[in-house]
Amino acid sequence: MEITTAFNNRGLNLQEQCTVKSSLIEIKLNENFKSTRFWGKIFGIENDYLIIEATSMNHQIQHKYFFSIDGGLNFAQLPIVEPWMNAKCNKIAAMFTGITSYVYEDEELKDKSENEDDENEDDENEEEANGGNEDEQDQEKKDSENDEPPKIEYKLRELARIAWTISSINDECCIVPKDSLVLTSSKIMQKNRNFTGLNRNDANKLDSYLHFRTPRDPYSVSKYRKATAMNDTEFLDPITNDLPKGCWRLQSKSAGLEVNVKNLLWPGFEFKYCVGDSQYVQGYFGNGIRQNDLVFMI
Amino acid sequence: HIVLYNHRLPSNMEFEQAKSFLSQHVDDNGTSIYSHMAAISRKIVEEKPENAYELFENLSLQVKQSKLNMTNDDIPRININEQEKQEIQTNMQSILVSCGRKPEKKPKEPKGDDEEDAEQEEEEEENEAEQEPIDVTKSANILEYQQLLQYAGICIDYEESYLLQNAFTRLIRKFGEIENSRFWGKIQAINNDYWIVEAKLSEYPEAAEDKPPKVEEPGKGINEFVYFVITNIENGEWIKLNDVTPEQVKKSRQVYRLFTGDLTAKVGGQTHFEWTETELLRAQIARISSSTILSPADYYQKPEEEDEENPFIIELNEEFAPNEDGGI
Repeated sequence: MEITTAFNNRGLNLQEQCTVKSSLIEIKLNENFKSTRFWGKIFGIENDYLIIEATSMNHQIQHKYFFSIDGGLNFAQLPIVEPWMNAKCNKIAAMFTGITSYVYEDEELKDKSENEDDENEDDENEEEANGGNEDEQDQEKKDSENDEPPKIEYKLRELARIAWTISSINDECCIVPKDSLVLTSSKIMQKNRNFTGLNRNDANKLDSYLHFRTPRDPYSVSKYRKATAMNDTEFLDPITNDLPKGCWRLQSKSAGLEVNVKNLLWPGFEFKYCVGDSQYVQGYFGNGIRQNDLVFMI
Repeated sequence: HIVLYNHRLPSNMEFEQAKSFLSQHVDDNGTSIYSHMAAISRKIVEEKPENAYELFENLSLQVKQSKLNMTNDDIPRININEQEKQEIQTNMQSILVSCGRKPEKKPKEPKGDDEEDAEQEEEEEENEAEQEPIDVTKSANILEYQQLLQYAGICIDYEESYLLQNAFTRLIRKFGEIENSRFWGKIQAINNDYWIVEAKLSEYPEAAEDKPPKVEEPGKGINEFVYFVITNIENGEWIKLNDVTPEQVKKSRQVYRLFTGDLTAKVGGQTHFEWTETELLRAQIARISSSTILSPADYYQKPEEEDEENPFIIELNEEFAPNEDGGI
């Protein structure tokens, strides 16, 4: 069983290749997933994370992830991504530390609690200076604060951040060639057994690649709902409409016969495909930080 | 025989009649419903897909489409037209030439005597240039360090490293003044990547007389090494990067742009970088090298006689021995 372990000129060394391959087989045995693959590596300061992905395709595309911090010897499942993680993780642009229990302190909360102490002091001073008017206003403020239910404070641990990062990368970066997935009559997504590959012209165009995720684009969702055997090729979102414009780039080697597709928002992601093949590989080797300033850089 | 089992078969129609009825409805190509259903059934029995019922409509569509292709092969073909074929062929030829194949001699066209002589001379010179051996120790060596780099996680796969090695030998052939060189690394850019070699020249050109203050002379300080860049290792040309000035380094600290992959491109963005991408690349290389190149402790030492002109000369410590217990 061959697994591709090098993307973007970063790769696994021999030891890691052996351990990851064996762990991959172990995971396949224990899980009933149709396909598992080595997803990539996220660099951290103390440790690097090796990630394996297990995919199931049904009416939707679902993934499960496993991580390892000891060079592939032991893999454990990552927690499921919850909505509160979105807001918190979006603000963080620091390198991963490599320690799974590391807690990311919320900078805003810290500042808020400091400011409240200051405000209370100021209020006391003003009361002394101004007399009664300020009192009433303050009372109203405090009343409204007491009416709100106490907010649940979530602590963001590194493990949750890793899970969120990986699912974001998959959401924004995972692609498949056109026609490689088909929709059956009962709306189940499946690999197209008769996919003979893209020809040279198509392989070098970005619009021959589609997002490998449950469709969100209104056009593809409508195609998905109306799907019969005739129009089953366009039920996935195309990548050409992604913002910021120009975030997807295609490079080709060997006179256009080998194609690399990269997403500049996540430097380190690579999708490799050879013309005429029905197989393709993709993976991520990077520090897991989204390039949010891309608009200024291209 | 493939037996059609139709629940709604009226009691007064027998199998043969049903078959002839279905065979009558023929489309332009001469395909009848009966033959189409037979083809689908044959496909299911031959290929045995797991969920044939689910995929029934898809299979029907595939059978229809495969009739259009009219190929009897099981091996799928890639269709390419003549122009593509030419492009691919020239590209493959250039790769093989760089690997060592002798380029084909172009047929001579009948010309006047003088021109013919001149042409012959040119050809002879080319042949000589091909056969002139070069000192391989001068070239950067990637194959030697591949294992080491792979252990650190940097992966240059075997084919690429061989092409890269060939590119290095082409570099030595082109620039004879290189004394020794080292593979510096690769910078990824949007459209193509930059492969960079760091070299020491045997002779440095004289510094320009009217140079502005603080600019270092070629061969000293920040310009001690000369850098060469190539974008296409299969059949590209090496380009020498000019020496860098302190002003360029300063400006490059403020530039926050991705490299496009085209050396002649202007650098856009908020800061006004008045030179092209070539100068930006050279400035970034200088910054990266100065911050990140390491050597084990005591690997270098100051020479015994201090050279007053250049207090920064260091030479290899001949008594350096790696720590036996593996510590750094």
